[in-house]
Amino acid sequence: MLVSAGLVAAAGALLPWARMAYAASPAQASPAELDAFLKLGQRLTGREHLPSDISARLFAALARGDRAFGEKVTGLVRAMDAAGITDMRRFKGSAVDNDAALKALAVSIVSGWYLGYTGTPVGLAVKDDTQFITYTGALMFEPTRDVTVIPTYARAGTDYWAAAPASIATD
Amino acid sequence: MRVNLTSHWLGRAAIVVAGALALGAHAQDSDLIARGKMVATAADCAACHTSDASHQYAGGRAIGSPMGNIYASNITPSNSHGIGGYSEAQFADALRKGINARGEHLYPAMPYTAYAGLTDDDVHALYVYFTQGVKADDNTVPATKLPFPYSMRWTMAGWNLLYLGNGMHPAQGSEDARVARGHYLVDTLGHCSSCHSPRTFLMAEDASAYLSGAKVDGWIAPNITSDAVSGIGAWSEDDIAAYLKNGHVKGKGQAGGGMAEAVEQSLSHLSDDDLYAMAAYLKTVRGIRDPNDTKAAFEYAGARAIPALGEREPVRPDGAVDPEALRVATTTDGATLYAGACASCHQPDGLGTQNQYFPSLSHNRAVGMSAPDNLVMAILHGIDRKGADLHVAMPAFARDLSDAQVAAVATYVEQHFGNPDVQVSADTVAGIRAGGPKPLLLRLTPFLVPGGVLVVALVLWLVVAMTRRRKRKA
Repeated sequence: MLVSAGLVAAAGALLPWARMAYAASPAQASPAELDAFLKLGQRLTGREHLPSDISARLFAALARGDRAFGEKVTGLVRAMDAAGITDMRRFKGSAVDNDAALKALAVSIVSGWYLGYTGTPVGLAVKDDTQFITYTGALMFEPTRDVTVIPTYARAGTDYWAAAPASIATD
Repeated sequence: MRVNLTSHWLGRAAIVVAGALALGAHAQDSDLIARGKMVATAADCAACHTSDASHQYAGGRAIGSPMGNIYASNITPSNSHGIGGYSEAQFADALRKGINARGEHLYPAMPYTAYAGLTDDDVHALYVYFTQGVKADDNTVPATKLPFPYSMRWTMAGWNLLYLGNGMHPAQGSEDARVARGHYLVDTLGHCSSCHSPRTFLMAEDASAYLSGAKVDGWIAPNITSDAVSGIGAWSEDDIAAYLKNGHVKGKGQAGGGMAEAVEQSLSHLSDDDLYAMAAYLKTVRGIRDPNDTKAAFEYAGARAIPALGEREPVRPDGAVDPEALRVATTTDGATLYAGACASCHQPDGLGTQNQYFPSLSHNRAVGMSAPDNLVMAILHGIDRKGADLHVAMPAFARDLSDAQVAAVATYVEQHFGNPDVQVSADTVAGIRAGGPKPLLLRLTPFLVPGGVLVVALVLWLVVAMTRRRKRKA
């Protein structure tokens, strides 16, 4: 009796470790859903290619605790199709832009791609609702990639920043 | 008063004249001291005889030999602890014959087999430098205590009889002046073969495998013969000279371990002429190929594609729930370990930084060799090398990563950036961590000792018997 109680307690203690498998793709999302979500991400960020595994991870993070997330995505795609938004330059002032729920969903997807995480970080707290998506793949690093570097990644030798970048004259 | 003044000025003049005379002699000596210093630098005396930069040449550094630690002696002109009392002849004997002033044999950790080839001029310059150009330091060096039978220094006399030659490996064909200079630098001053040639059963350099590579303290001193695949035949003279000077060549390789030390203390201070002479000579060394090698190590660039971003940047789903989970660092996933420990400098694609300060892992000899030893050693012990151009430092991971983790990340690096035929196991890492394979002689020592005692007893009996017989005859 004591032994089995101990075993149950040990199993309970180990449960978090069992769940610590690295997230690949969420079990509940169908391949069609994931594909649609990837295409939506490409349309929202104006990019032809985005990594599908990162897209699946973003889907899982945003869908966390929301069984209807897949349907919401489908709804957003339909609304964008209906509004004729093939290019994001036509988004502003469109019907989708004026629908608060749809706009919030679109912004949450775009922000996940650019920031590389979902949720809102809370400074100096160990726990918040953020979900890691990607670090080096975060789109916000792209525009300045030629001059700055992703923090914690070396661009050149130690103290390289002491000399002005060669491209500074043309920037 | 006037008399006093005159004598004062006369005294001054005398001092000036004496000073000028001394200066003349001094100039001659200082030339010789400078030359001796250059020879000492080329011979890399400091590598072993300086264990602490503030005690230049004061000895005390433990030279790890398979038989045990051998402590390098104090070679400053200290009368009590150094070589202050040495005559030039005694100094020359220590260098070229391996016998110190007390008549004791040196262990061949001191490369006297190489220094046997020193010219008299160089020995003289070295003597002047070490007696006049180096500050006396009374540092006491721990006594070298090797286990029996290696504690018997006199046995080195027999070893010397077998292996102490003229300090030079025979040249291949005729040598012009430049190649001959390189030959002298490589064989005698640089004693390159003491690391780069494999050792025989009795720990002598194997002349038949001259410069074909050897394992030293966990590192592989690579094959530096002229073979294009196993050796450095595909390196240009510019490449070799630059490697010796800076410790790295883009797209070829970097120096680590003992070679990094040799670059820092010795080779980076040599003149370009001397470095090119060494390169020219190395290109003439007979090529020796390892049948395991199919292409030059620096040509390898991995066979497997780099894993997708999602795999390289793993998510701990409960990281936000259990903050303690973030401390868990026991993964043996090569991609995760690479992303965490290596990618910030060598970049996720393994290509290093644009200026190659953090070098590419593709087209890199340490990662392309048919054995992973140098890659594993670099991971375990890091790199700290001051070449002529840069000071390069890579952190050591020996205390942070387990054998299984080092094996996983090394395998990942080999598969994606280097030689895909190389698989690294935790056992391999454990062996390298322990300093590499033990030589056969050492493994057999427990069995050799009783045999050796028997042989010594037999020789003694023979000597006694012979002297008795001779006495009887007389």
